[in-house]
Amino acid sequence: MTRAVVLELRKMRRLRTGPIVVLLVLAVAALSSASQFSGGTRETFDDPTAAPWAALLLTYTMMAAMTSPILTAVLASRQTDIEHAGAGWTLAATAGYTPGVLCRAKVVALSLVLLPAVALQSLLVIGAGAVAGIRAPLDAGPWIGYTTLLFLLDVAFLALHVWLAATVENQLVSVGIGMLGAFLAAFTLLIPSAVSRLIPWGYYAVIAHAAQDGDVVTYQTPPYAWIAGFLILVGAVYAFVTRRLDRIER
Amino acid sequence: MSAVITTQGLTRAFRNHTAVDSLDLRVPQGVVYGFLGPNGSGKSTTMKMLLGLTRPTSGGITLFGRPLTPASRIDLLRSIGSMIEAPPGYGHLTGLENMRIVQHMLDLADAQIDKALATVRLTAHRDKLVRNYSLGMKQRLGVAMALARDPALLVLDEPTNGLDPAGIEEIRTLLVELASEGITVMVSSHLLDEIDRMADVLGILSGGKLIFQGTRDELFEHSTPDLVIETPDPGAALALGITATPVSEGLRISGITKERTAEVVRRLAVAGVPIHEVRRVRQSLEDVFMDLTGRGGLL
Ligand SMILES: Nc1ncnc2c1ncn2[C@@H]1O[C@H](COP(=O)(O)OP(=O)(O)OP(=O)(O)O)[C@@H](O)[C@H]1O
Ligand SMILES: [Mg+2]
Repeated sequence: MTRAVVLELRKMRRLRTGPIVVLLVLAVAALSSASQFSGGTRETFDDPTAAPWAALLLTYTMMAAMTSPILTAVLASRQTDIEHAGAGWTLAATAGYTPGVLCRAKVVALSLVLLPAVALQSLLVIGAGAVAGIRAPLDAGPWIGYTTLLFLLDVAFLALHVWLAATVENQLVSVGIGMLGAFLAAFTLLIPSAVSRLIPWGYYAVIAHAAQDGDVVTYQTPPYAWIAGFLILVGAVYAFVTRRLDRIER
Repeated sequence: MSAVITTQGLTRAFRNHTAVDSLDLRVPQGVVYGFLGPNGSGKSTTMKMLLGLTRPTSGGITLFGRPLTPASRIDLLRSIGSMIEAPPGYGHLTGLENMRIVQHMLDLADAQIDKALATVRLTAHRDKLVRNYSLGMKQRLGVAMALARDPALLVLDEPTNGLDPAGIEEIRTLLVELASEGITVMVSSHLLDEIDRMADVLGILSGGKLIFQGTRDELFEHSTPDLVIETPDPGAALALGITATPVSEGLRISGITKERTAEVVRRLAVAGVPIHEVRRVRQSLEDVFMDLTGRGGLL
């Protein structure tokens, strides 16, 4: 497996995976913190009861929900389409790497790229908040919790899109579903969490560690059991479908 | 000569038809085995089964004297280089980067990669993106990827597909050379002409069935070339009730045995029909092949 992951990292060369990720990380960080520099927001900075950090986290959650489904779809699709285009499935199969192994390795390799990217993204947002002048102390817990869950969700959707891209040769399908997912994710931020839990992309809203309550934004504890259940379900389904991929003959 | 590949009643059925029908192949060691058949006759399906990429519906495969099973497959594949249907290669990487992927997959030495690239004469182009390769260069890269593991058996599916005559000749020379080093080469084509001059043994497939397997000479022995009787008066001959096709120089009879030929000539002579010449048409191997695949075989 380690060898298969290294192979995927080698194939990633010149696929512009790095630049795409960096670009999106910068965009999300910029969009999330843009409001920090507006006058209305600045007045809340010194007032701990106004929870400026929680408000920033909520904006960040919104931006990440809208962009992450597309980012994961694009990365997974690029990394998988090369196997269709280059007769890579057969090449790998004659060296003992089944399509299922390839797909699992792709998810791991892409996750290795996303891990530092998501961490950097959160740090950039926090940095922007500090630069803008938030004086209230930062509550690390919700930020770390949210960042961790955002990364794990991204991994889950990478898995979905690698499988889609491997199964359906037309990559418009995988990327199209990613765009639909982005819409759903943003939409579920506006509906009750009980409903969002039933929609896969709704989990980008379910993991929110901050919520708007009337005029004030407060930290909240997301339903960890549901999130863990969703991640475990995706993992189990992925293990099953990639094993099935091994039996498909091309 | 020991056999590198043997199959026993190898069969593969798809939902509504049988693509490969009870093949008993025998590929001897160290030869170039030409695997021929028209489009859709089951060549690629057979080769995929030999590599364990497709499961046979029934029948067995023995490679290097060992049965091919899911357990033995990985081990057997270590010594089999292959290229099935389209030549592999990631377009966004250079030729060398593609070779490095193969190297890493199979844990090969740098020298093996360099040698494979040199063998197909791609060393000068190894830093170009494969996307910008010509069709011939892509085919050669595919062959290099197959060669990198220093295989004992090469299974190549239409490696000359889309190549110009010079490119075909080059592949042909290469395969003959490899066979002379003791590597067994199984190469498919739908054009007999392409493998005629390199194949030591031919296997001919038609509609999923093996209709011939043997040497070129054996193939000729099996075929009966048309008989041409040169006469200025074909009408008189036909009036005798001889079944023949009138042609410009006289008559042409296909599928006629030596005994029947003697009989026909005797009858024409007795009837006083002038005969200028009686001869067999010289057949190209292509004619034999067309004849064979057209009428469903000899075996
Ligand atoms: N996955 C599949 N599902 C259904 N039928 C298939 C499948 N693969 C191959 N076939 C059928 O099996 C037959 C043999 O196909 P195959 O590709 O082996 O032929 P071939 O001899 O390689 O032809 P060509 O010279 O065109 O490459 C064809 O009729 C084809 O349609
Ligand atoms: Mg074919």
